[in-house]
Amino acid sequence: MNADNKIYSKNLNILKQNQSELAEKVESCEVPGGFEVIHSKNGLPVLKEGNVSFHSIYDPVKDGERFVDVNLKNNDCDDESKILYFGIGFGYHIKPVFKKNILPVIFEPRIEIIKIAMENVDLTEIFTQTRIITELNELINNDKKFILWPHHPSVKNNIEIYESLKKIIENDVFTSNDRLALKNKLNITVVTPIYGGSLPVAKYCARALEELGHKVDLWDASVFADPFEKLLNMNVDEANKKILYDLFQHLISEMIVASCAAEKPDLLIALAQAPLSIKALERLKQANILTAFWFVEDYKHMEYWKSYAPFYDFYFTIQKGEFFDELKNLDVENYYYLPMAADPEIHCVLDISDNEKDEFGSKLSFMGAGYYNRQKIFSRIKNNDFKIWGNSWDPDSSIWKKVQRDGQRVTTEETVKIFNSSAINLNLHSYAYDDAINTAGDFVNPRTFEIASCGAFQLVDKRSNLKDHFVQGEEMISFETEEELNRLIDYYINKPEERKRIQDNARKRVLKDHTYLLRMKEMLCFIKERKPECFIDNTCSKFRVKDKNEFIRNFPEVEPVLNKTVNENRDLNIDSIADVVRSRQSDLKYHEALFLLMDEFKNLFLERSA
Amino acid sequence: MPDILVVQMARLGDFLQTTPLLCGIKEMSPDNRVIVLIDSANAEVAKKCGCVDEIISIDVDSILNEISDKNNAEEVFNIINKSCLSLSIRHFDDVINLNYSKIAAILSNMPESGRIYGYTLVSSRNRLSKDSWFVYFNNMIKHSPLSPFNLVDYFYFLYCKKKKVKKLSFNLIKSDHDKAGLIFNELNIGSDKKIISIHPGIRHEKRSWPIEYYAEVISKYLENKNIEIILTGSAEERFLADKLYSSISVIDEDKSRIHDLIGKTTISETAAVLNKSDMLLCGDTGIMHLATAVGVRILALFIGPASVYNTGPYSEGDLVLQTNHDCGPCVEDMICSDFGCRYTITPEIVYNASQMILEDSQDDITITSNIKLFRSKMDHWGVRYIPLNNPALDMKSLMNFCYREIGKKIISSDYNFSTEDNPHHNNQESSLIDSEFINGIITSGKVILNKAYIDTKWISEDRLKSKNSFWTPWIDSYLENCKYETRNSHEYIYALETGLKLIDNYLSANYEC
Repeated sequence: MNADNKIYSKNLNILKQNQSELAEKVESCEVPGGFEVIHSKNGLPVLKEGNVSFHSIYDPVKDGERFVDVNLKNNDCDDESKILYFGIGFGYHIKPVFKKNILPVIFEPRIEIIKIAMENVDLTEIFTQTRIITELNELINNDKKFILWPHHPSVKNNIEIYESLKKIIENDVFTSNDRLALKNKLNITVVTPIYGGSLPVAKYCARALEELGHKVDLWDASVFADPFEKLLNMNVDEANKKILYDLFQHLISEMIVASCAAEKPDLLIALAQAPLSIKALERLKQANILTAFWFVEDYKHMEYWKSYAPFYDFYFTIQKGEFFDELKNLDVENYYYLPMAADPEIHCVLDISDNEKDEFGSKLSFMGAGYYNRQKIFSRIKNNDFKIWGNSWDPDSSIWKKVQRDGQRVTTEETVKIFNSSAINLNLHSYAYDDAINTAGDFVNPRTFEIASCGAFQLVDKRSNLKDHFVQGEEMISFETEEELNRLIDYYINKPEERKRIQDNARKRVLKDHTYLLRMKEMLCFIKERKPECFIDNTCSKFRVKDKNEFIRNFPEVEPVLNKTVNENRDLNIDSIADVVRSRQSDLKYHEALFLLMDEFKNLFLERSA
Repeated sequence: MPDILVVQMARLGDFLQTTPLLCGIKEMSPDNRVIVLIDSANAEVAKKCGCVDEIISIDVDSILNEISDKNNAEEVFNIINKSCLSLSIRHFDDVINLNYSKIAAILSNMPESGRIYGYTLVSSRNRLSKDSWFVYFNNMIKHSPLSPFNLVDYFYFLYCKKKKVKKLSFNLIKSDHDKAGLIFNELNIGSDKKIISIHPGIRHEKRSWPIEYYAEVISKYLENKNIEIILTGSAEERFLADKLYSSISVIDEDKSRIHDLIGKTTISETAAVLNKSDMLLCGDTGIMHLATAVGVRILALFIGPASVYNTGPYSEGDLVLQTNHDCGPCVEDMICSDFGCRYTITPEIVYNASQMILEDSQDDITITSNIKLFRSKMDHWGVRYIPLNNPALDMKSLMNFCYREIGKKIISSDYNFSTEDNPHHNNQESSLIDSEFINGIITSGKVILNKAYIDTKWISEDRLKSKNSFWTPWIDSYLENCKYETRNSHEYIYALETGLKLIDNYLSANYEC
């Protein structure tokens, strides 16, 4: 689709004036394949996705008029309600409604559809007369009840979101002064693996979720690392070891389930090999606790996902394509591609002292485990100022003399110092099956984002997904062969300014697009889109003061409390008012006790209706 | 005339367990007026307690229904105001709040009053505070079977200090008896029959005995042609009758001796029917307390979270079968994977235990190791539960006695240790405990005592040491009590001294020194 054409530019300008945030989203959207623009019998452009045509291929305008007439007949709106279109298509079904003096709202969850429409039809009238919403959360704070007009071709490829929206409208979630909404602040439990490279990732996720304002309970399974290691090293046969392992995992799983029974989180997020058994996942489902798993490993290499994925409500992956097909085959419905990231608070630019530079610095460095391909390839690198850090390196290999600290594990803090101190950080994705570079590799490892976030320079092996995250040549330099690697080392070792340009660009890109904060936001958006009914915040609507002055007229004694609530810039709902009452130190007055009672009755009501 | 308000907003059983306190207040002074604040669902029961002068009721369910579709704060404020206004304009000399709920605590704070006993709001109004006796109570019930007092006694001693044999109060009047007579006539139950009332319903699934087991034991009872079965329960429990009937395997002639009164009688009528029964078989329910109040013999099944020590029948000579799994008594809210304990008490065991009541037999019955059989026994401090079948004393039982001494001292600072209430008097002469172990317990207790005299921070370090595990309830109570600057923490120290004296005395009396 040619995004340079005049229609698109005009539409974009108008959208920028009316909905600038949406305009930004559209500009940065990459339209995936599968779409086609055909022309109707009367020459008008019509969008087609696969076999589905979004409008009539004969006369889309007449078809659109018919759509409005039929819907008005079935679902008329009055002063108390608002038409909500599901699906923008090319707008033929929307424009006729303006002639009826109706100004609807349009819900279109797919930005790419908006973009394609902007490239093909004039949307001036739509952009100036309506509001386009792309996320369910944006539908709150509306004065009126919604009447849903589904555009069926749009619904066809968005059936889950449509069903969720329908459910929410039926439950009357978005109406009026109730301001019922999806919860902004969630209770989230994050379960870490017992050990391994993904353990810090889990902690970054927990921090990011807290920064987003959620209440996070970090269930740190790494406290079980020592007994687990002891179990693994026991001198018993494998069958018995498996039994012991299952018992061990069962205990930890039960602890997690017990914890969730007490805390009642809105969502449980587990990572990598978090010790949650299938039985535990089933019990969490029974307890109506949503579960999400971020599988941050190579699905071809680590196959445990086959057993566990169907038991999670949401499955996030760092690979797509074939992996998605395999997940679909297992009836996993809610999968989503979510690549790794960095935590800029941890992976940051450091001021390195001379001593630290001596200790951690070198012209070339690598930080990571000694997988087979790394052992082999690195042994063929000629540069002598090459330090290798991390564990599992072969002491009998020629590379051993470059391995620092006898191959002991390095802390995260030291890793960041290494990245900062090294002229070139080598970043070779692990590959256990060959001593060559894995040219078929797709996912991008965390190290790529972490080095970039540290403002350090790296040379990374080419991965098919790398171009999604960094611009080759500007933000990242990659290699496909060993010859290329050596050539790039030789080139960049003597080009400090060139390195600086690229590493600065890389860091900017990470801060803009690749932080754990952004990943967690994206994760939660997906989860909320798919299951918004699980996050309905009933509390904020219950018992709001509609008319403060009238309340005070009828009950003058409440004036000080209500005024204090307002003066503290708090919403006049019972949560805030009760908080204000609790903060007062004087003897509890009768009307204050009534407010506290209201709060308790509200909690009792919500408890009983849960 | 002093007006004493007792707040008891909980269920039927909780109210009945409060009645000794209500009567105790009257006995403290005939001038005392006892006013109860209850949920209107318990109005009938409250009227039947002879010691209540006035009832104030709040219909919580009705308020919830009324506000359920309201979002306007002013409207809701007005609804709740109408329900509470009459309370707010009253003055009480003392308020006793027995409910660990913020609603009850807030209501307790509404009227003008002298002192508030029991649960009240802390100054920040976001938590409940407990007075020192309730601190002890709350910590002990987390550690049953170390908990030495029944809920009735915890309530009673909160305000009354007189030691006496107490009784739950539910006064049946002539019309109740007449109604029961009519019911029995309609059901054609002769006065020569032995009547077993069975109440299969229970509040929480985890406490329930399987309905098919009830069916099985009923079939066994009916083998005796002289027995009639009466089923009791509320309207919400009607479905249990269908389940029972479909599971019972007896001939129709015998089925005619099963009389289904589930959902068909009021509380008073149920009480009157129970009064005419020879035995009630039930779980840990309010009906059990109702039966206790009207004096019918009881065989109660305590399963899952139910603990005989806390809520067993408050009476003399009734029986309780208590499951004795490692995981119990558990917490109601805890997710349980298999509810295994529900099936532990078999119909055969229940039948055999019933015969002890029906035949007034003192012979023991055979039970499995994961069940305990208790007989209730009253004294001037309250009720105790004597374990049958296994009279040998274990450490938990000894500590139970110890904590009873501690409790007595907290109740009454004048109390001096006496040997009156010790294991000897409870048919537990033989012991499973090593004297060295007992010495160890005494030593660790004395260490804690000494540290208490010095500084609380020394004790909190001791809390998690395994050798002090039997002292954890005391440590927790003491530390919690110390948080309140106005409290006298020495009462706990003297109480511990008294408890240690019991163990010391037991050691000297039973082991060569």
